[in-house]
Amino acid sequence: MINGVDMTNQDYSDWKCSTCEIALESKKTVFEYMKRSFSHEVLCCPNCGKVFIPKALAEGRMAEVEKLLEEK
Amino acid sequence: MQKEEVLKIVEQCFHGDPPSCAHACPFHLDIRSFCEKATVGRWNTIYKYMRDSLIFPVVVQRICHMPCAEKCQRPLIGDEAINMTMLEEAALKYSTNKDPIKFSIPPKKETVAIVGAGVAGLSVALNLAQKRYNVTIFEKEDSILGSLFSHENAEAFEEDIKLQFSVVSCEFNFNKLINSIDELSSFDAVFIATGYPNNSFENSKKNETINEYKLSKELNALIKTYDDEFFSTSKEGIFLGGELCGYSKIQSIADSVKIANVIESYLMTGKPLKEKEEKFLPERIHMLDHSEEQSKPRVIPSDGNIYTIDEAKSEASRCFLCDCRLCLDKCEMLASFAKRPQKLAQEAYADTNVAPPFSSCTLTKEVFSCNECDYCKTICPVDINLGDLFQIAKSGRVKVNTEPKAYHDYWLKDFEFASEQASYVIPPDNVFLGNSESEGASDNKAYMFFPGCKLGENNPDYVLKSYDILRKHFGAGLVLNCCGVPALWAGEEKLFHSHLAVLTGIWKNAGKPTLVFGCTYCEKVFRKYLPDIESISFYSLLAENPDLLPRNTNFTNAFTESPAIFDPCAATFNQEDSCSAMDGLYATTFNQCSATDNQCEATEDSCSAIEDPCATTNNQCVDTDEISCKSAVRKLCSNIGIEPLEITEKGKCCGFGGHMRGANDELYDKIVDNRISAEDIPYIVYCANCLTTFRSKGKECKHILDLILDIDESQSGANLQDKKNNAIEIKRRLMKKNGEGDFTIPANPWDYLLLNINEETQIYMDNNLILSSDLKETIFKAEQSGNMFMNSSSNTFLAFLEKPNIIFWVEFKKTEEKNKELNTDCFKYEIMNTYFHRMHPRNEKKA
Repeated sequence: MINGVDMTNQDYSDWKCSTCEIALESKKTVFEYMKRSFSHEVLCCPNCGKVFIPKALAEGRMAEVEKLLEEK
Repeated sequence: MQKEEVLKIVEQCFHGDPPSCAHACPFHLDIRSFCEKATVGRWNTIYKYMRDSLIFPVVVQRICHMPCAEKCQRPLIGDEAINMTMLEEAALKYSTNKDPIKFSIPPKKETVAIVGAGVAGLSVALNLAQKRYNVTIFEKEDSILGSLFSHENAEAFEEDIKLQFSVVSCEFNFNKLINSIDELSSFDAVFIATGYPNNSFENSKKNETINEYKLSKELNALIKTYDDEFFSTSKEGIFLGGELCGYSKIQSIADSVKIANVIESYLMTGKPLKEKEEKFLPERIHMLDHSEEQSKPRVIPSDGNIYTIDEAKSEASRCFLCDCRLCLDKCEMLASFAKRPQKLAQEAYADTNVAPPFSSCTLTKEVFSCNECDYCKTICPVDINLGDLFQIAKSGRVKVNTEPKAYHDYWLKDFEFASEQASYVIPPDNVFLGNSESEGASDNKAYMFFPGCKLGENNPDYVLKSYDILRKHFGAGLVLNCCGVPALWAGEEKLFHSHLAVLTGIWKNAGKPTLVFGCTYCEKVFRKYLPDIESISFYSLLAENPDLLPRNTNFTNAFTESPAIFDPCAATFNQEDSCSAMDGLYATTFNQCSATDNQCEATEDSCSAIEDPCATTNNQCVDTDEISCKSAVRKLCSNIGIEPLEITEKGKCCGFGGHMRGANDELYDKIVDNRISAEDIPYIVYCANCLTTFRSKGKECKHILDLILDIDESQSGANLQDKKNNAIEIKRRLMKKNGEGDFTIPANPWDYLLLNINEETQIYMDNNLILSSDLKETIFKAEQSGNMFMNSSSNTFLAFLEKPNIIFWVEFKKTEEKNKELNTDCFKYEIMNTYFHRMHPRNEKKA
């Protein structure tokens, strides 16, 4: 669950990595912004590590955190 | 920058300062807080204010003649001053807790003698006793009060004084006449406040002997050496005060704190010292504008004697609580952050010394939300420009690399585009031909048109048609470039100044012509930072030379209803003429001319004052030769039969300024909404940014050039990408005309991608500063690098592209189509969705 969005539901289960063509898996990933870093669970390609960021996440939780960090 | 330099910017700000009444009060009572609390009946609190400031609240309430009333600001709107005497009386009556505060501090060993138990001596004695000095009072009579002994309220006075003394230890010696100072030689300091029968300091100077006081000869001698700054005499440790020295009782009580401090400094250091007055300097008294306040007459007590609780509350509520809040209330940005100017200054300075991740900045949002419009300075009674603070904070942070790069990422790219790819120079004719042979050149001035980077982006005709006129009549040259303000607004001072050097070079190479500005903000930047370059507003030039314009027919049908002019924020800065008639005119709201009845013969909808402003105050006109930009635009309107109305609040930014969009979208939306809803009627603007900003929110709006030139509206740039393309188009056409061939910008491999973007997505992109070329680049690079995901059930792809300050995502469907231009089969990309974020995922690629 990320910000109330169930990452394992129907919305994202149809997405695959285009190069590896395999299903995505939830993984703890490190993000960096404004010289600070933190980790969050997101869907990734288990093979090449590409991170899948859907619109809901980008405009929801990520935008919130970015705003907080920018104001520091 | 040093802290002092930053704080100096807000030095004159008097927000939070004591108002005029507190200055006038001998005790500097915080009347504003007093009335604020009295309005809600906090009697115990205001009793404490009174007791702490007035020393003997009952005495002072009764004998003070209310000098605060003379400086009360209520009379400015014709009402009577706040009745502090009666409010204090109410506080005395209705407060239930009058317990004096006992200070628990260690006792001191020094001894002080007070001669005279009148209010002067008593107030000094109380202060020193509170500080635990050993105070002994000598009084020749058998009771306290001195000259107040015979007052009708003497009993209440005595009670009050006894109450205050009840928590200190102080030795009273009544019926003890002091004959000589020698009797007091064992004391470390002596304060003499024996009063004077004639209450005249002058008498003692004339050497009159008073037989009541055997001390008088000695005292007279002391008085002659009196230093009223330190209350001291030539004799060390001997201080004088009260009516003996010609002070009133009120002043004596008010001075007791100062006197006690002087005595204390003498006891501690051997020298009487005084603290410098910082708060209550006369130059810090400011009367505010209360013209919007409602008149409320002074409350009269129903019993003719004392206020009831409700009457007191009502009288206290008449207090304006005078405090300057002009900038805080009138600027949306300052109102939203609600920080007082002094605090903003301190934080702005502190932020330039931050070292993340150990410390963090406090002022980010505010700093990057400022429109840099100077509106705060315009309305500030002491001309403070808070934008200067934010500029310091911004550039300070850029210097140490702590600014959020995402805020100005788009704008700096935009600046680069305007100053490189889209830049172009045509030197003026005059440079080569010497005396201009172009028709209409009234003076042999060489001109060079500087339209600004955004004017042409809106519509190439704005630049091309304008330039045609200037070229034809003045042999004018042209500079297509940016003035550099995006770098300034981003805090990139180095970049800004190096760009100014480039512009200076262009100007010099062109023979130092007069620059003709199509944008008031460009003009402001040049006037401020490159003052040696002569400048004129394009609109002023047109207004001065009306024959230059095509003969247009009446434009009264250009709008659905009578429009108003929205002046861009920089027009106020640039206004050079000192036409007081114009200034007074702009202060009027439309349809409410300030001319008196016998001056104005206009009807409500044809106010001749606006048509011919000088008609109202002709004999005050000190107009300079040059028409200011503001006046010029109005003249241009009137020349074509449009009589525009005036908006009420002028000088505020449309919202574009400072490039705050991207840093604070919420505030940006609020500001733009406020501007467009300020008046229900269409706007005439003369700034390309006002035009774009207002139109994007659906406001009916035209640029002055739409009305006076023959503009082909079909060329208007609808979205950001179109606007960029317009800038290139202008350069392309001019270069072709100049025989310089067919200009094209270097192609990117993704330029040829065909995108189908629906309206909703296009609006989203414009609101978030995303160009269609960004999407093309994302898709192209993703297809090459494999940075994509695919959804097999919906058959869509999701591509992403990581750039230094932003990560783009595009969701699309791919169809094969015939590309008519290239005559090949190629893909067409239907854009389902696009979004972005700023934080980077740290990819850990597995083997």
